[in-house]
Amino acid sequence: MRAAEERQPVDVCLLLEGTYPFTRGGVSSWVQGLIANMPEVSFGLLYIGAHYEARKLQYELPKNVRWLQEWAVYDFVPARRPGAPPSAVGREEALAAAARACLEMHDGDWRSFDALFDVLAGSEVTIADLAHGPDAWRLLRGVYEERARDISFLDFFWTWRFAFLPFLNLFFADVPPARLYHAVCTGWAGVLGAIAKKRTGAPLVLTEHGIYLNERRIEISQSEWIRAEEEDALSVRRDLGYFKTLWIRLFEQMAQLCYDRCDRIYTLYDGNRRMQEGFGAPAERIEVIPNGVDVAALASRPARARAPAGCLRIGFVGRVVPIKDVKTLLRACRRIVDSLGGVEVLMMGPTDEDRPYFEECEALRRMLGLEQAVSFLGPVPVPEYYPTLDLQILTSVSEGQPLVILEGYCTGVPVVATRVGACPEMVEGRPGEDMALGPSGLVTRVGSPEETAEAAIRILSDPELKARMSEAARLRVRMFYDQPALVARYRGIYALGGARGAA
Amino acid sequence: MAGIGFKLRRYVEEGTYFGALQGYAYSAVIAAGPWLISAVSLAGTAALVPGDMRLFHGALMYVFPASLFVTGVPQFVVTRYLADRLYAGDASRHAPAFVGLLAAVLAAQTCVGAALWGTLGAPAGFRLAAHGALVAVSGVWVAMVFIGVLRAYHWAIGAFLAGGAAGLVLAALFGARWGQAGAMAGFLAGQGVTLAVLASAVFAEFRWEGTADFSFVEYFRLHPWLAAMGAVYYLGAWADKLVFRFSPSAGLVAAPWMRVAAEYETAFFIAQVTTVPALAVFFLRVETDFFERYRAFFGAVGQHRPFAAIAAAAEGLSDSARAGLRQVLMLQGGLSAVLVLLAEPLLGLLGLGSDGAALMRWMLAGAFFQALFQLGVVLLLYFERYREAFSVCAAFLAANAALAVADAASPAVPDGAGFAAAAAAAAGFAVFEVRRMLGTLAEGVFMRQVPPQARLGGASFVQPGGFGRRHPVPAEAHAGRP
Repeated sequence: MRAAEERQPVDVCLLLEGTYPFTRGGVSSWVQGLIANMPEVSFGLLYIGAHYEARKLQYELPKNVRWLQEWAVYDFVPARRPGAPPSAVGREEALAAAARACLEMHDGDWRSFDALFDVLAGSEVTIADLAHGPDAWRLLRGVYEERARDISFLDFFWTWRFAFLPFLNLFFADVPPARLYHAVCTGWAGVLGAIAKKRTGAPLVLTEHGIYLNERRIEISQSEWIRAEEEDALSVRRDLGYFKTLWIRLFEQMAQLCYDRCDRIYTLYDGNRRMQEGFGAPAERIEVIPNGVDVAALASRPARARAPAGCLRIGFVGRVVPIKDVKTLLRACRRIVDSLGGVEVLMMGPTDEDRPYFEECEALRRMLGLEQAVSFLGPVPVPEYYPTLDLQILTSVSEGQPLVILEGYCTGVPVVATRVGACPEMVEGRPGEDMALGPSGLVTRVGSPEETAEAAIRILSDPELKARMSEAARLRVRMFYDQPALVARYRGIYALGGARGAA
Repeated sequence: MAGIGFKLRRYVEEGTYFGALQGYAYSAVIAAGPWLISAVSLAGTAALVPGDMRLFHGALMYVFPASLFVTGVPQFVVTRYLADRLYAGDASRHAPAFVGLLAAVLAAQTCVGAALWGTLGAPAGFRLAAHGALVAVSGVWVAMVFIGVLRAYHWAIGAFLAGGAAGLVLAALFGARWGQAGAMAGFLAGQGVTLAVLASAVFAEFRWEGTADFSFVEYFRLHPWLAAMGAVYYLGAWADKLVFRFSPSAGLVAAPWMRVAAEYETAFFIAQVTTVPALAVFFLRVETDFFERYRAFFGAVGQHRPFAAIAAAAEGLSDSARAGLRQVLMLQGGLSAVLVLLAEPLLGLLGLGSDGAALMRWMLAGAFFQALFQLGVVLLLYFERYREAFSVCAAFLAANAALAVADAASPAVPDGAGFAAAAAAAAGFAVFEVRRMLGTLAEGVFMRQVPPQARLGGASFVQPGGFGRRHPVPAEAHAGRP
C-alpha cells in the first residue's frame, strides 16, 4: 500500500484491548462476526496490549480489514514524535501541566484530560522526558511529596510507572484516521478513543461485553501484590488501603472519561446497563444490543439421533469448570431422575480446562449413582444435539450473556438457568414485547440443587407448559437475538460516521 | 472479557537493581593480589634460572596483556550475568557458563596465539610452551570471574600461592634442563595448577552436568556499555607500555616484533606493587562499612520505606564511599609521596642502579593515580553507571596512548611523565563522575531502567501520527473500495 493511501480514513476503527485478533474468546468471535458480515464497511484495528511482543493471529482477518496496528500500554518508545508541530508550548510548561494533571488524577478528577491534551499536542515533550532522566525524576518526586510523602516510595514508583505514566503515554499514540471510533471496552481502549475523537472530531461509540471497570475493581481488591499500607494506630484503617484505592480511582477515571466522551454506549443486557449508569455513564446514551446467533443456520443443522422413546433428554453445554457449578447440576440430576425416571443427561463441553474439578465431578457422578443417566461427552458439535434436547440447564455462579441459551432457543429448547448475568432477561424476557412472549424457561437461585431440580421437573412433566416455553424460545431468539439484526444495528451505528457502504 | 490484565506482579517482585554486585570489588582487588604473586614468581624465576632469560620474560610481557585484553571483554558482563542469576536464585547455569566461557576464550586465544607465535622468530618448542602459557593464564582470569562471584577470596590466594610456587620450582627444574622453553613449560605448569585449584572451587560450589552454556551472550546486548568498558579497560592500563616498546629505548628480544622496554616496565611493576595497600584498604571498607550501608540503602527501597528514609540511607552510603576514597587518598598518597622521596634508596634496596630514580618517581605517581582511577571505576560499576565507567576508561586509554607517544617521541619529556599525567587526568575524571553519581543515588536506582529497545529489536514503532507497531494485513489492496 502506498503511504498516502494508508492514511485514508477507514470507515470504522475498532479499539480492541487484549482481544481480537490476537486472543481467542467470546468478544473476539463477536468482533470477527461483525467485520465478516459487513464486507462493504472498511475497518482498521487498533490492538492494545501490555507489551510489544511476538504476536500470532488467532483469526483469519476478513478482506475489509485495511490495517492492523498495535499499542503497548507499558512500553515507552523514547523517540521524537514524527511530524510534531513547532512547539507552541515550552518544555517547562508541558512538564508542569503533566504534574498538575497527575495530581488531579491522583485526587480522582479526570477533567484535566482536555488541558493535558492541548499541552502535549502542542509541545515537543516526549514520553522519555516524562519517564526517564532528571526532569522525570523531579516530576515523580513532586507528585510524591505533594500527595504521598509518608507512603512506601517503591510502591508509589510502581504505581507511577504502571498507571500514571502509561496514561500520559497514551497521548503519544498513533490512532490512524477513521470516520468513527468503536471501543470494545473502556480502560485504555476507551481513553484512546477519547483522544482520537479529540484529534479528529469523529464520533466515538462504546460496546461493553463485561464491564471493564467492575472487573478491575474485583481484581484489584482481591490482589495480593498491591501493597496494603498499614495505617498508624490513631487513624481508622481504610478498607482497601492507599494503593488499591489509588489504582481503582485511576481506572474509574478512565471509564468515566470514556463514558463522558462517547456519543453512544452499548452493552449486552439490562443488568450491565444499570451497572454502567452506576459508574457514571449518562443513561440517555446507553442502549442494549444483545448478542446474536445465526438462527437460520442453527435451525437447519442436521440433528443427531433422539433419545429412545419414552426417555427425556436434558443437555448441559459448557466447560466443566467451577464457575459453571457442575456439581450443583449433578445433585439436581439425582432428584430429577428420582422423580421422573426415564431421563438422560448429556454434559457437552471440554473437560480438560480444570482436570481436578472434572475428576471431582466424575467422582460425584459415581457417588450419586448417575453413571447410566449422566454422560460427559467432552467437546462435541453441539448444534447437532440441540434439536434432540427437551431441556437445557445452566447452574453457573456467574455469566454474561450465554450464547448456548440462544443457540438452544433456535430449535425451541427451553432452559432452566440461575439468576446471574443476562439469564433472567433471556428467560423471562425484557420489559415490553419480549416479556409479552412469556417465559422460555425458569430462573432459579444459585447453588440450589433443589430449586434447579424442581424447575426442571415442572417443565418436563407438563407438556403444555413445555410447548408454550418452546414456542416462546423460538420467537424470542428470532425477534431479539438474531445475528443479522445485530449486524444491521451496527451498520446503522456506523452510519453515524458517514461510513460509505453503511446502510 | 479480560482487559490487558495485570502482569504487574512481575514488576513489583523483580528488583534487578538489588543484584549482588559484590563481584566487581572482588575482581578488581583479587586481580591485584594474584597479579602480585605471579609477578613475584616471575622475578623469582629470573633469579633462580641461570642463563639468558630475556625471551622468557619478553614472552610473558606479551602473554599477560594479551590474556587480559581478550578476557577483559567478557569479564564484567559475565560477572553481571552471574550475579543476576544468583540473585534470582538460579545457580544451575554457573558451571556450564564457566565451561562455555573457557571454550570461547580458548578459541579466541588460539587465533591470537597463531598471530603472535606464528610470526615469532623463536624455537618451536618455546613457542608452543608460550602459547600454552597464554591459554592457561587466560583460563585463570576466567576462573577468577567465577571466584569473584563466589567471594572465595581465600581460595584465590591459595591457588595462586600453590601455582606460583609450583611454577617457580618447575621453571627452575625444566629451565636447567631445557633452557627457556623448559622454563616456560614450568611456568605454564604452575598456571595449570592455579587453574586446577580455582576450577575445583568453582565446581565444588556449582554443580556441573557436562554441558556448556552460553546464555551470558545475551548480556552483551543488554549492557552494551559494560561490554565496551571491558574492551577498553585493560587496553587503557597497558597503552603506554605498548607504546614504549616501540620507542628507541626498547630492545628487540625476538624478531620481528617482540620488543620490550625493560627499564620502563620494571619501574612500573615495582610502582604497581606499592599501591597494594590502597586496594587493600578500599577492599576492607567495601567489605564492611560500605557494604552495610549499601544493604541499608537498598533495604530502605525494598522494604517499602518512605522516600525520606531512602534519602537518608543514600546519604549514609554516599558518606561511606567518600570516606573510603579520602582514606585511600591519604594513606596511599602518603605512602607514594614517601616512596617518591626515597626513590633512590628504594632502587638500591632492590639491587637496581639509581639512574632509574627519575623514571621510578613518575611511575610511583602514576601508579598512585591509576589505583585511584581503578577504585573510582569499581564504584561506578557498583551502581551500574556503565556508560560513565566506559567514558572514564576510554578517556584513560586515549590519554595514556597519546601522552605516551608524545613522551617517547620527545627526549625533553622524562619517561613516565606521560603515564603519570594520563593517570592523574583519568583519576580526576573518575572521581568527578563518582561524586556526581553519589549526589543522585536514589534517582539512579529508579530512573535507570533497561529501556525497552533492548527487548524490541529492530522493529519500527514510529508511525505518521505517533507511536505504535504495524502488523501486516492479508487484505487485498483494493477490495471493497468505492
